[in-house]
Amino acid sequence: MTVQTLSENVSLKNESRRARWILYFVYLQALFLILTYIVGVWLGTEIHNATITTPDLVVHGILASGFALLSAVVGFLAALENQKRVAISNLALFFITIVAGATGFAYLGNNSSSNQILVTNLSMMTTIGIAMPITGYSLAKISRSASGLKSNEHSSLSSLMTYFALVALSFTVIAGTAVETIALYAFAVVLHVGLAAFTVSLVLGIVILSVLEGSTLDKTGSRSWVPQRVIYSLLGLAAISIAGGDGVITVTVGGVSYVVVMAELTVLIYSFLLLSIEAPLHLNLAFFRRPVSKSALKQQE
Amino acid sequence: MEREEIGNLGLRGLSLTLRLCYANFLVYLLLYVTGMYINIYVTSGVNTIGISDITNIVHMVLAIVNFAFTFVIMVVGFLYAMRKVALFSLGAVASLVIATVGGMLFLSTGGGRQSGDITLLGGWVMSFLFMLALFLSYYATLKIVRAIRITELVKPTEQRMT
Repeated sequence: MTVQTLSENVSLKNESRRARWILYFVYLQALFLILTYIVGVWLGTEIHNATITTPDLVVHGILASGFALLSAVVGFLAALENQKRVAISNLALFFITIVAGATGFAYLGNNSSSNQILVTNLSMMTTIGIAMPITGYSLAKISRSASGLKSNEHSSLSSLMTYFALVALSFTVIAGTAVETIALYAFAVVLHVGLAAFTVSLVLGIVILSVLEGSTLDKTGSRSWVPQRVIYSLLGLAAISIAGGDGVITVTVGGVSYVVVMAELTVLIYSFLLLSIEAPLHLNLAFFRRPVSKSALKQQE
Repeated sequence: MEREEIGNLGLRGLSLTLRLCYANFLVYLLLYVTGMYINIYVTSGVNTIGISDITNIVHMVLAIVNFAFTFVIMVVGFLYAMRKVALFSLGAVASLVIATVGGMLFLSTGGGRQSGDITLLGGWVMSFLFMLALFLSYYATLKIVRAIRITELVKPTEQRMT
């Protein structure tokens, strides 16, 4: 082994180690996003006339600050590691989060104005909506470089469909927030239901594509099937179905507590979609797979 | 040169971090200007400041950006083996956290100079720790500048050897 290859190996190892650190930060960022969203929905629906000293509001503020901070950390570290798109998207997310936070400050001084409530709700939910696909994309990109794969290699079809599902989910969340505004009610309900149905079909697509990935062979002749991806997407499908049922109850029976349940189910869907992108907790299922016959390889060629 | 810390960030990464430090100083300056505006023009007499006042919102947004930039520099210091940069920035981060608590105390107990001793204490904590954070960030930046100089000096020698 030459000195050059040795130094290349060391640098690759260092890169992979640093990418793993960024990956932990992305996981933490997603966790903060989930908690900020849940506490925010709880605040918006259950607590009226919140002030600067309301304990739930302080918790929400700290969680949102943590999320903004982690977006900045992920963005800058990605810039240092030459992950241009991840860097730009996360740094943009950082500034959008800060603007949404500023509307929150304005709301605290004027919490009885319906216009101010609308601006605050929509700006915060739009931030959550933008953050969902960005964290998914960052997770996919960084996990590829952490496992030593080149970032310019093509993503799998199921990963692409997961990005689309995250985008559809984010639009569903934003449309759901607009339902609270009387002027936008009818339009927002139709949009929310339509987008939710679209998200369901995309998640179903992820399940199908994840199963189909197992039927093709890669260049080395092994199957690229990730069973965990099928399980996570199935769990996502289950969660979104229950959320749909909860939505029907909300419309027919009413009551804001069902909205909180829907938000909790939304973060479950988001978490399962994120997990299906990176599909951690890989089990060694080599014994489960049938050895590939030469005739099958020839057929594929 | 033996005891200098250059870390494993590389020249490009160091330059990028230095730019972040400069941006942070700009935010420190704007934070100072808005803080002084609130101090001299808004709360100098009997007036108080509320959370939704536009100058206060700008001041708080700048405080968040300042905290985020300092925190990022700290993380870079820890991850890329620049212990001194990490420790100085950690000190700045801790100072900013306590300064923010001081600011919250100032706002929640009245938000004016004549609102009482606790409000004034919050104001003093905020100002004092802001200066301490600025001082510590300055030292962290100096270490990054030094690492850039050394990397630039070492690089031509390495190139000649190859």
